[in-house]
Amino acid sequence: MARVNSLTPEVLYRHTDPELFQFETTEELEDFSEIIGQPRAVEAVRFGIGIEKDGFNLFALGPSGAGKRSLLNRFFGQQAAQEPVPDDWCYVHNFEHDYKPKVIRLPAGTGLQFQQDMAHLVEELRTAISTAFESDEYRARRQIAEEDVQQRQEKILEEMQDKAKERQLSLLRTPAGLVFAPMRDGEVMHPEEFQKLPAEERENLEKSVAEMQEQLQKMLQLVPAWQREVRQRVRELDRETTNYAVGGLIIELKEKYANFPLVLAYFDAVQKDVVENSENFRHIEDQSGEGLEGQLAAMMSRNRQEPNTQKKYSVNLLVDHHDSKGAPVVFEDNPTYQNLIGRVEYLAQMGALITDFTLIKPGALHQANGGYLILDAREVLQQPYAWEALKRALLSRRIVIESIGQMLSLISTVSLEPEPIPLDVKVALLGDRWMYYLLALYDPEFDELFKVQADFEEQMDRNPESQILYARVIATLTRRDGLRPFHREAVARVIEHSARLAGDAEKVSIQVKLILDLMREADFWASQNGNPAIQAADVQRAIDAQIFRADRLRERYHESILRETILIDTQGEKVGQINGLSVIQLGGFTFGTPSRITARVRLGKGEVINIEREVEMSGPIHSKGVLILSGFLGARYAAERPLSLSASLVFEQSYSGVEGDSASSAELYALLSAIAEVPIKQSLAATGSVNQHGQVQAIGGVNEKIEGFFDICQARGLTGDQGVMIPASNVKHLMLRQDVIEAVRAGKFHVYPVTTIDEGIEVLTGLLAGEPDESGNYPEDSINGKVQKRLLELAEKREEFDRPKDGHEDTGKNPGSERQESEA
Amino acid sequence: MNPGDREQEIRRILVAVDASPQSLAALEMAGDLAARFQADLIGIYVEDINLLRVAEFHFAREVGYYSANLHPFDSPLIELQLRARARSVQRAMENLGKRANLRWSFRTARGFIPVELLAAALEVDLIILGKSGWSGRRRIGSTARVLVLESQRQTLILQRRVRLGTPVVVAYDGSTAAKKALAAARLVWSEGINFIVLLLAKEPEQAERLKAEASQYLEENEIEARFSWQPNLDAARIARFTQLEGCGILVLPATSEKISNEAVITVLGETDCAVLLAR
Repeated sequence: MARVNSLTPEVLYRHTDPELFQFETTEELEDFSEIIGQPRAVEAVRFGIGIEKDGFNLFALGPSGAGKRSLLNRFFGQQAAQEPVPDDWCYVHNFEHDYKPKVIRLPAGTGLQFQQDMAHLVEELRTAISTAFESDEYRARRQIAEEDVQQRQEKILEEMQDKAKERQLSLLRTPAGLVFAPMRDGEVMHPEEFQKLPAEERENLEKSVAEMQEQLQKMLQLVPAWQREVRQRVRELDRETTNYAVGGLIIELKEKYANFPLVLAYFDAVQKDVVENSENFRHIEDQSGEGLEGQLAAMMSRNRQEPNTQKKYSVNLLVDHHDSKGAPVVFEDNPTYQNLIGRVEYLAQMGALITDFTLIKPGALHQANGGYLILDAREVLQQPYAWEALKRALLSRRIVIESIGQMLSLISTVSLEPEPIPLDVKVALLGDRWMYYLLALYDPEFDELFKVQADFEEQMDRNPESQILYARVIATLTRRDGLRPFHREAVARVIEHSARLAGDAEKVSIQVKLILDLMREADFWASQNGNPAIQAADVQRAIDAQIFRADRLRERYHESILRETILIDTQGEKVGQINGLSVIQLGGFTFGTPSRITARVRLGKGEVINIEREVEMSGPIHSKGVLILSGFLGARYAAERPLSLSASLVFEQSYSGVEGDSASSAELYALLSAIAEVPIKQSLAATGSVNQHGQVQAIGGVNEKIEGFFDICQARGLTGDQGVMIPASNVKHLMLRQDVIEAVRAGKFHVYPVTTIDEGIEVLTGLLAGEPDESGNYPEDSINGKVQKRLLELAEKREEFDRPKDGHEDTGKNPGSERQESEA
Repeated sequence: MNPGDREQEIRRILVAVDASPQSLAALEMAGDLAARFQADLIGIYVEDINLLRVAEFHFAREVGYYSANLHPFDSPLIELQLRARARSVQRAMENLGKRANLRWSFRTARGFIPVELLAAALEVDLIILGKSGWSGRRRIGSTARVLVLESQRQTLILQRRVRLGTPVVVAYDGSTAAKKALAAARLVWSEGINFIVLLLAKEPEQAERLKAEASQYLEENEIEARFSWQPNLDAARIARFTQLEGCGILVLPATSEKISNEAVITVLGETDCAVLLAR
């Protein structure tokens, strides 16, 4: 008779006793401000923050919803509050190389002042320079300079006019120049009159004209040089005037910023540039000219000139900490290349893209410089070039703003090369474990840059103390999220569900996100039910609703079984056929379902054929499990003689591949049944992996598997014989549904914990497994005895086949023997 | 009632334009005045007969003003140059007419410039022209000089761009012409802008009398004016006074005993503000 007893309802579900809690609702509880269940991660983060060496950045690894970001935010925030506010960073125009803006570092708050001072200076310059250029002194001096050449020109013309008069000529102005003409009575002589003159006089006049023209030419040739001279004098005068106007204003600023050599150098450059370009500050004369075109041109010229002047002397305050308290803690939720290292923007002007230093925009690294930066590792890796850029910045300890196009030499637009900014930041990446391990494996620089790993747990021990803490966490979350308070029974139900999520009755999940979602849904149901505090029934309703929303596929699957499209027996007995159990995970929802596993045996050379593997539908762990079976069979039953069977194993009606070794015990039961030709009860399902010694080992998803088989049996009507066999080591993981527990309590369903294959086969067949005697033989009517006997028979048959029939040696490899074997 | 008032109505304005900067400044001012008085604006460009004659001489050569090179100078060339000038002037008038929504006309004449202008001026109430045309000199040009001396109409002469709405200085000596000048100054003055009366009197008492006379007229016309008197005022001082006051338009009586034509010409040579000769 079977030695294994069905589990009692009490071990199938570990309740949380509401009496454990000294409150009625969570409203009575104080907030819990510590981090629950993450001592390792907390220690790592503290260490990471404390150490100031290069490369000691953090990687917080753990599943999503484990509270990585909130923990880092809290610890970084606490630390940052005690640290000094970092410096401001400004970009200013580089007067020597336009495309290489200069960077200026100033103490927090001074950047804004500097920006305002420069804006004020530009305004002042406009007034001061305009005033200087409108002053009587300037006008007079300029007039003197200009008048000089004007007078010299006039003098030439007057002299020429006078000389012309002496020769009875007149100097006339034409649209393009000057001409000499013979005069009579204040008018140009009529040509006919001229012809009437004596030839000699005519000749004299012509000669005079030619001479005068020559003289005039010589005189006029002097004019350009005079004009150049005047321009030069006016330029000098402009410089002198501007320098005087600018100097006073800049001296005041220089005194204010005396401690900042870079700023002083910048002021010098500004002064020099303003003096060179004083016309930009002078009132632009209305050059509207004639017509619309003229007005448009004048307007465009003004539009170009004025903003450019303002821009050139403005300050691009890239990082402004004037109202910051402590060091910054930045979380960049869209860590694109540009959002990390900053970018240079462009403006479209007259169809061309233009840029300047005022269009340099900061990235998260600028904002977090001197403080802390939190990034989602997956997001960083998904963004093209973001990971490389982050590493480069951390390794070189400076931020170089460079467009992707420039980096890849894809575009040749004139762009900027802003001076790099020194970087001092502690970066924390958040990511899954596998991401951490992959990066550690494949990226040689990763270890150098992220030396501190903060490993987050998904679960923690479930004991009275931790459950009380859990209640306080629930209380804190309700208040933070504006939810109704939880009744203590509701708290107990949340904790039980949390244990189920952890897949372990002795643990609770600390994936806050999942718990918080459940709490929010429970709050919704409480509002629907008009409960001022959330009750256990609301929590249960939320759980049921979550399952209902997600279990369309499970329902279809089970429907196929109930309609016998997928063949699963839940009563009767069959040789070489057993109900295995598998788990299917879809998104966040996991469910179990039975699968039929069958085994056939025949004479052979000791191989166990995994049909799934033959068609490459078997994962490596599953294949390994099947190979272990051969080991078990050979060692136990055929240690002294060849294992002379060929067995085939298959998951029936499986169309999508099999992975995992949780079915290996079921496969072994089917195999033993097939060899011993002893039927297996189809009212049972089995799960558990097996080792070469026949020990049954723990598997995952035990709750879902039991419930999956239970659902089918219940739908068909519980007979009282039905049940599931699980590894004994999985009993501690049981957190079964209430309806399963009730069925077990009523004796309508059973859960058998087994530790060995022998225990399991006894439950499945109702026969004893049998113990070997001293010579290793098993009792004949035991399962093991029957297996041993059958294997012996097969071995003898094989020996018979292998024996040479006509006295010739046979290697057993001739085609005839192969054919006979396959027929057997 | 000022004796000049009836005659001061401006219905037709003649502007002499030769496309030089000074003449374009005159055109702008003419546009302002035409718009103010809703007057007809008549533009005239005179093709200088002297130039056409010179072109007929086989030995005539043009010396480029900037290049100082010698170019052939013949009739077809000068005809072309003058036609181009006339077109450019006409375009400027068109633009102004459209912009200021004026009634305007333009014509080209051929002859001796002062003669043609004097003839054309007979049909209008006011003639406006640049001081020295293309030469751009500070000294008054020959055409403006003839108009100062011989024009029977009010004449406004500009050296640089001046618009209505600039301070006005008017010279007042109590003569009929001076009264006309006062009335003319009222026409070119804009409210809220300085109106300065420069009293042309040898003695303070005489100045006081003149001030009283002028005040009466100005009060009647609700003009708040400032008065100034200086002993020994001559043409050069008048010019300096306008500069010091930032004057835009100086109004002078054209036929006053106190200010001779030569004095007017001197003032015109010294000042850079627009000078309106009231007749």
